[in-house]
Amino acid sequence: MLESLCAWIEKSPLSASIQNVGWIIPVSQIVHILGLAAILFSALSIDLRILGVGGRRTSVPGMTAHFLPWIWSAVALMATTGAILIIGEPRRDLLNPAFQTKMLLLVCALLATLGIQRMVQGASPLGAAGGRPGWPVRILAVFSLALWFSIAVCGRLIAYVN
Amino acid sequence: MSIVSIAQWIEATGPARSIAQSTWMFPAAETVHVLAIAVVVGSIAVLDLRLLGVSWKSRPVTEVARDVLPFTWTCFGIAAIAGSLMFVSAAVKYATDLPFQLKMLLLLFAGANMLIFHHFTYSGVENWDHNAPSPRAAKVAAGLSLAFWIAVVVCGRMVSFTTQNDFGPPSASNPQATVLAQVDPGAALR
Repeated sequence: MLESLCAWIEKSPLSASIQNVGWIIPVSQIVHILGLAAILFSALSIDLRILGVGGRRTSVPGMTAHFLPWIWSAVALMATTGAILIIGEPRRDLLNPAFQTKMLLLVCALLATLGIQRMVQGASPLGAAGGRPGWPVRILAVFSLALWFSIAVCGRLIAYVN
Repeated sequence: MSIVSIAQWIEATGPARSIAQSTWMFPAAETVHVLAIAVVVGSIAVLDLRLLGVSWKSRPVTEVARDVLPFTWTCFGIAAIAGSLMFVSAAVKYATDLPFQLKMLLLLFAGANMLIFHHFTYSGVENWDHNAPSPRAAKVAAGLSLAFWIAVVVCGRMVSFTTQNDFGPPSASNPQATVLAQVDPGAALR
């Protein structure tokens, strides 16, 4: 099924233009990396603050209020540039186990981020600046950190696995 | 002694040869390098955007700096070590590669910009800690910092297009792709 999807994408005029215009793929990759920079540091800041390891000058809700918009915008940016890369070379990504793992982990990371957003910004005891986050949100923070960094590792490994 | 002969000597050392011959060491170093540089750029951008008055305007500059800079420095150290391991595996190729040379030059610029900012502008930060945006000199430094670091990422990406086959480890098995890549960066990917 994936095979035929790749074949179909490859035959599309969009795929052909991405391949033929030499700068599209390098530029998309560069923008993709800049998006990664925004996500990794934002996730680090939020998750370490929830775990009480860093950034304690800001409250947990203060941290999420600042960094969650960066995460969601960067996710949109990376989805767009990622889609361009996939359409340009569907076989390199869709059939690649590193890419498939990456997408699975991405779904988990997005759910974890959404969970953190709900728990911190909802009507919870986290509102106070000194409030100590409970264990559910702490567990989500650990998952979120592990997931986002694993996603980045998988992304890099697409180049090496096939 | 020319740069190329120094690079040749580095490439011939034991550790450099083991990295070049190993199947996993280069990918591992590259993965660590990319993750670390992402955190460097992501963290420094937060401070730059605060100085420019774009985001986190409610917080004093010194607080943002204290939150952010430990990440920047730690990850810069990690990226430099991982990058050195990548460099020694094919020192001649990198030392003579234009995007690589540009990247090193840009790192110098970023460092000089930071030093100038730190010694002249940041030393008086108590006078403008709560201002958003910061004074013009700080805004210029922040804009330059953002530009230099983004350019470092761009050059880093171009290094892999110009020196390797599909940004894998340097390989002799597909020299054609490397040659093509030097003419047309997109070619290595097709």
